[in-house]
Amino acid sequence: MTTNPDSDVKTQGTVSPSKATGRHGSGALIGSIAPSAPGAHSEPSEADRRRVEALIHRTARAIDDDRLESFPDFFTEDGIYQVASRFNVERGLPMAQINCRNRGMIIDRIASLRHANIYGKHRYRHLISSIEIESQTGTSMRVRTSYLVIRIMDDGTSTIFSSGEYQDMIVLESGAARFRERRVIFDSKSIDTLLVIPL
Amino acid sequence: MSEPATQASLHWPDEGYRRVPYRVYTDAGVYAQEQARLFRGPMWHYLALTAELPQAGDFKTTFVGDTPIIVTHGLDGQFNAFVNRCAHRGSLVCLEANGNKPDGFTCVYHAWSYDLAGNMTSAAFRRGVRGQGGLPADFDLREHGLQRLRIGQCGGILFGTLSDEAESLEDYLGPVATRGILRAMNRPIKILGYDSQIIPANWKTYHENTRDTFHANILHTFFGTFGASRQSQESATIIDPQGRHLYVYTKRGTEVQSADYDNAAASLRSVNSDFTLNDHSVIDWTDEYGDGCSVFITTMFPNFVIHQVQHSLGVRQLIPKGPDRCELIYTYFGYADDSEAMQATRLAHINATGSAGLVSMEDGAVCEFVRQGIAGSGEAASFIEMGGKDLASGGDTKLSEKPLRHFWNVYRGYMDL
Ligand code: FES
Ligand SMILES: [Fe+2]
Repeated sequence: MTTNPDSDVKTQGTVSPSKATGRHGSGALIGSIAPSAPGAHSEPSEADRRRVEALIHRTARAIDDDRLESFPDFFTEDGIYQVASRFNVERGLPMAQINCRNRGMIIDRIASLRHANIYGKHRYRHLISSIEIESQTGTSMRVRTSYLVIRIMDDGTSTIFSSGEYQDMIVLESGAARFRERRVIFDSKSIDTLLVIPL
Repeated sequence: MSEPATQASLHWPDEGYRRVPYRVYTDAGVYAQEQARLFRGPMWHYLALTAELPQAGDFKTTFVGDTPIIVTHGLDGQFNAFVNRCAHRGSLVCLEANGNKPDGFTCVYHAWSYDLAGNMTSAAFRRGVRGQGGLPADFDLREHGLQRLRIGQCGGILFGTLSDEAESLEDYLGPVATRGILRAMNRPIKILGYDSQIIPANWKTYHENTRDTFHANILHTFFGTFGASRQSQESATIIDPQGRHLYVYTKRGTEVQSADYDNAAASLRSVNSDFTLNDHSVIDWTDEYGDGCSVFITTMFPNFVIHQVQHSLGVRQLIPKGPDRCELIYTYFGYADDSEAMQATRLAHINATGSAGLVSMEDGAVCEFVRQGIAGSGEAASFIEMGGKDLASGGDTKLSEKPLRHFWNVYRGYMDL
């Protein structure tokens, strides 16, 4: 089992939201999420807001620091990671350039980029802004965030590689925030050369 | 209409099509000559899929070489294609990627208007105001339509040509390209989406890569690393009699053991790996065409590709953007009668192809490496002799550069280089 290096909570397989009662066994929900009925909306607490922001920032930092092996740990076991263009999304077209339907597929992508794929060496720098929790239902929150990714090639050239937004569904499992869904909608229709490191 | 001959100055090595002078990838004169002789010349180019324009009034904009093009579905049910360049003073007439305009197009600059077949329908202030201005009395709308392309269809793919001298589409495609296209386009399709990849290299570098069957298992190691493919699988390359088009296929599950292969393979990156996938849906494959082919790629001169890679289906349009840049547009599709599960499988397999393709992303990278490598190469040339030195040799094995020798032979003929 993998360990989330940025979280104080170990990933322990799939925890369904209904059983997410915290690791202290007290029955109290970590993160003071009101045990609302499914479908009911509520205002996120300050603590939840901080968890959500920390997850988003830590994910970006893990990528920028080239700690890609930890990237899958930010997702739930059934977590979806997709990268699609705004062009396709606006036309209702389902194709995504990256289409990981669970954490296993995300792990496979990272293994592939480390061991199989060939590309000019590069890194990213993420700039994250406008994190907005749009809605909260029980332990899950819909969050939209703007990003800008600068790509730094090994030869020293820096370019704006991608701008866009994250459309996330973030769940609190055992007190730890993770992505159940992360849809990266990039603004440009085109990808420069190739997309290998997750956005 | 044939254009006056422009002639790029270039010395082609005496060995002919088994050497390619690197200047064909970098020279602005060669690029200009390609625009005249290939893209505006007597051959057929990909325009659109009819499934992109299902309703009367539907349009999309695209390119043939550098030339901007509008493709429409007319109110009479006919498809049309014409140059997206106003007959007045050259502005783009249509600014959108796609949409529906049953009334046709009006240029934003001075409001000349055109119908869905490119015929001019009106000019603003044609009669002037209070007897002043306006167009001459002998101005005839019929003489100022948009330049039309001849178009043709094969299996729901619209092709067009700017040349009056091109042979018929049927003759141009010939038996090999036709078979490759109709195998994939065998029933109504459904568009799944677009992927656009900017490749920082000459368009021919990418197109050569699609004909280069030799690199596949060496450069692209995803299947090999995760245990789904070996060079020893049954495969073949079928080239049409004129050498312009070809298809290549691979049959999964047909590996043969051979000492030759095992010895050579020991030096490849992709073998002897113990990696396994957590989720096999990226490589789970069933034989949907009943011919055993897990990969089937058809390549047309000068630059069109239609692919089946497992269950990922797509057409690839390659748009040159100057000598050292091109845009590769994948239009992915499935069949209109696909089950939900089959569509999900196709979407999963798109993980393997395109700009973020686990299998194919190296193509963008290696084209860039070639562009970087040939800088300052003067009169140097490449070496293309895998499988032999002439057009006939090389058999149908993947370990041959026969399709490349044919490409350069045909290219030199059209280009007169
Ligand atoms: S350029 Fe189109 S109307 Fe003048
Ligand atoms: Fe390739």
